[in-house]
Amino acid sequence: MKNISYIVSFLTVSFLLFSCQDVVDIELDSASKRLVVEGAVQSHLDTQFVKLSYTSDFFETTLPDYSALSNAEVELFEDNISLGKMTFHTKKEQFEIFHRPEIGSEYYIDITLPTGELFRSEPEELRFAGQIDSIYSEVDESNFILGDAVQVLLSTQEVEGTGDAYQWKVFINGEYQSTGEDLFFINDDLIEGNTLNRAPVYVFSSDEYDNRIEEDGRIEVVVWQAGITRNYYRYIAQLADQSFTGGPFDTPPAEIRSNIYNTANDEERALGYFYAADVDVADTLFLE
Amino acid sequence: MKTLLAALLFSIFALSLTAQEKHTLSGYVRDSETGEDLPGSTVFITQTGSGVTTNVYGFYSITMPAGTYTVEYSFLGMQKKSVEIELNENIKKDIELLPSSTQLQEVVIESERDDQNVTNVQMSVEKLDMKKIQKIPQLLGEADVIKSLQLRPGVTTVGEGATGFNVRGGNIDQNLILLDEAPIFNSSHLFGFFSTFNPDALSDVELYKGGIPARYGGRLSSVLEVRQREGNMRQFKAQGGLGALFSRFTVEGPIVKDKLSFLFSGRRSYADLFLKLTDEFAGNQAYFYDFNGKINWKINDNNRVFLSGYSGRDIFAFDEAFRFGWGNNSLSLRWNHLFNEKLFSNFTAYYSDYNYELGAQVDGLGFDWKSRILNYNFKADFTYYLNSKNTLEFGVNGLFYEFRPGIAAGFGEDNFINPIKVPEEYGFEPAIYISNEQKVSSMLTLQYGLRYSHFLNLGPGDVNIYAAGQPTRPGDIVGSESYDRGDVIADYGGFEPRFGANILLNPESSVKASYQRTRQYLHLVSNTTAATPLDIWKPAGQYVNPAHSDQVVLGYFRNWRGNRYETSVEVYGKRLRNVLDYKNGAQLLLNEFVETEFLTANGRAYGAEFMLEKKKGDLTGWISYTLARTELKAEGYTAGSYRAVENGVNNGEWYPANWDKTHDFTFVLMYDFNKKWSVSGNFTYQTGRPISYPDGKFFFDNKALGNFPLRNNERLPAFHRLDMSATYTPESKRDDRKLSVTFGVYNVYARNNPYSIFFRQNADNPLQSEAVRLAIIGIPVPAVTLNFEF
Repeated sequence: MKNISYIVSFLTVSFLLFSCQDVVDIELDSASKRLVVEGAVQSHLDTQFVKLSYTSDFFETTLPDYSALSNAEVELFEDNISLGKMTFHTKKEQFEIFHRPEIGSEYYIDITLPTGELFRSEPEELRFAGQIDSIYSEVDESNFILGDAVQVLLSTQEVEGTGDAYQWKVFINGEYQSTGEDLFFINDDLIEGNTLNRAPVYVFSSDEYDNRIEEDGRIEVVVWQAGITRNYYRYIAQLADQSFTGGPFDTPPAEIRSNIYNTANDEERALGYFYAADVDVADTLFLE
Repeated sequence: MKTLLAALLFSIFALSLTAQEKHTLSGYVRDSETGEDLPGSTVFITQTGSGVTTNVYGFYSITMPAGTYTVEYSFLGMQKKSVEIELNENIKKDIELLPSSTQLQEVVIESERDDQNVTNVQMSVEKLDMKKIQKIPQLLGEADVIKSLQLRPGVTTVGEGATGFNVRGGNIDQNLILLDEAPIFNSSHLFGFFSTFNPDALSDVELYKGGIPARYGGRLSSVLEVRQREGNMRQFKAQGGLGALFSRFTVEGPIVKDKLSFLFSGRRSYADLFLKLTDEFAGNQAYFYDFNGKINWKINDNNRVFLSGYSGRDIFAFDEAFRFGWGNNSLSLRWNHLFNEKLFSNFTAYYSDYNYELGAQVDGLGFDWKSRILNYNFKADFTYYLNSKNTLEFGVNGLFYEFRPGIAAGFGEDNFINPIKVPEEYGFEPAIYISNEQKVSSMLTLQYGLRYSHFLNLGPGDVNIYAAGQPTRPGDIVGSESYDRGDVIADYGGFEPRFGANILLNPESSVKASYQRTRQYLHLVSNTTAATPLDIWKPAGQYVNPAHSDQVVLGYFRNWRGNRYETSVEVYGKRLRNVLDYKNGAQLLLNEFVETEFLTANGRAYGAEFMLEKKKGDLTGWISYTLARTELKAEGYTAGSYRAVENGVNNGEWYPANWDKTHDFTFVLMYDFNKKWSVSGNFTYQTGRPISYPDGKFFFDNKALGNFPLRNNERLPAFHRLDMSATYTPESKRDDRKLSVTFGVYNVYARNNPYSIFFRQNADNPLQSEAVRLAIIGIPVPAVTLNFEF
């Protein structure tokens, strides 16, 4: 139901006739550095990854130093059995392990920092994502926000049984569409057992469409359909919320609770998430 | 508590035994031009040096030993009237007061007795009449009840354009807003920029911030009584206005002279009418309207009936793609009956309906969402004027609620979204109260009372059962229990003692104190900065406790120079128990398991309010200052494997509420240069509201994100704003025709008051995070309003 909050946000903006926004300088406290973890096991990949870093000052303008923790130890577990230590890949600046995960299995990682502290992720079950049955595009001339718009639509069958959640990731010309507005996810409270026909996963405004056309005169669209846990669903729902926090009808931002905790004191949490996902990749779509 | 009740009843009984050979003077005080009642008029007995005020229906009753008395009747803005009365039997005396014309004003003012601020036992009350409200400059030149109240001490808002108001640390859902006794759930048009009350249709508003009389209940923090005018009993009148945003029109008059009158009043915004002229926006709609109507029938001296209704709605629509609307409808029927000259009664039956809808449709895919709260009530209120020293009030109240929080259903042939139905809930809230206002001596007046309220959450309904007994997560539901129609799902109740005292130090100064306990059985479910019209109300039930609050207030009141200047200082302390709070990241919209997102919080609020007001003369206005603090504490719960530290807010420590404003300074001035020109201005300075700032940054999923360790850990910069207006009233050849033009500027010096500061990634360089200030109104907004009367 995220769309409702987007509509409300949109409305807010439309009616703030006299409003104005400007970038301001403010001073923020800087806290001590905290561990940040981003990692996943994904069923369509042979190599699984974990990236470690520390938080930076909020106005810092560089990417985190992912090699600062290259001497940490990261171990991946499947159904409580160790799959071994992950190795640090210096070029990609991430820990990797060669392993194909299985649907129905549970995964977690142990991270031993050079200080000796042990962080562990709460286990994530790899849930079946179903399949994208078809993917296609359509011109929508009546889009009330964007005017003439091009929509990417797909059809799929929701997996029987409750407790499922899905995220669709869209790659345009090989580039992952990662802004808050691009996040598209749903849980099966709303769609249990249904056939999803013509589910819109991405919408190009006419300007964006023109700008995205490559030299070969077309746009390449790849869509991943990921089956995710309810816990990770909640995590990305909050990520999306934090993309819209300024308006009167937006929820104020708050810490998004990670699934990674310090084993010595499980109230000390890292930031980020380690998740498991079954992924079905749709046939590549070319828009011309 | 039982002993308290017994003592109360005994003292009443004892008082009635001591009554001697006495007679009662009673009647109504009215406006001689319109025949409308004048509630709050002073009836003063020169010989005894004491007096009474008329009740909300303009009725008074005073019992005294036989004798001859000089009785002075007065009301602000009316000429005082003195009457000699020989009281050797019960006498009914209806009095009509003449409005004080401008020429007479100086004379009348000198002699007017207007010391209620000092003498009345009621404290913490803000009373504004429409004349004053209409002079205060407002956004787009539209007089506004709620925005005017926000200029009084102890009343704040989270931000410009936010719906509702906060009283002494209370959330916006803790205000009981009554329009002719019927509750209004959403007091805003256009999300919060304007209030739903049309000033042309109203006589006055009264806000109780503390020392709430026992006859009111159901909300923790305040009662806002909004009274509609009764309609002119003598002649037909019309008035209206054309403004930048909407126009107003009111018509009133007698159906049967001095017997039956009516008043109809309406407002509508008209920006959308211009939209229709353009090709691009022709299909769009954005408007709001409200309509007030009242019929007032004086059957005879002992019986009067009022029928009043309100209907208001906001509608926004973009072609067929999108539609959003909300509104209130209410209808109340009241019957005033005088059993005898000492026993006044009022019976009210009302119906109120608050509903909203949201619908969207894109490419044959769409959904519709509708939500409603229905409310039916019957109540009986009695005032018994026992003797000149004791006035008893008692009554009963029965309130039935029907909550239909929402059905959202998809439609269209490609629809794949299942309908969501957030379960309906039913509630019954009966209450009973008794209170006495006792003049113990010429120095000491007491008001003491007791209210008992009860709440039943009723079936039909299914209540989810959670593994740990606490609504932890939807995944922890292990079953559900079904209740049939009328079955009691949850049952709460409790006493609400009320107390007030006035020690009159001298005719010009007094010390007052009050204590109140209030209970509230409904919560507004909202975790956004400002409440939206889409927010639902949740009654107390299996997993939601009712809230209660205690407040003590101590005040010093002093009038100066023949009541020309009023000053007061009030210090309050307040405790809130079991108010709703929310887990971080709570998803509240259309959530069937919304109870899993709730936390129970306690609150504490304390502050001091200083007020200097000049009510008379060419120059009127006030300066007020409030020093206040409001904090909440949500410790979270421990249940099963869930621990309090995980789900509480800010590690279970006290944190400032969104509406906590340390300093609040207001300056309102109105000056009549001459008969033609008057000017007014107001200036406000407030500490910025609390806000959450990040203490660091991290990257996840290719996004730069702030880490927000604590809720409301910082504050926005201070808020300040100056508004001004000037009104020109050309001389009219006929007294009954009047035209005026008001020129106003809102936010005169273009202060960019931040509504919020939020954080985002720079569009060109995603590695650069930036802080963005959002000002709702960052420019001076001029307005011209034309008002007419004939």
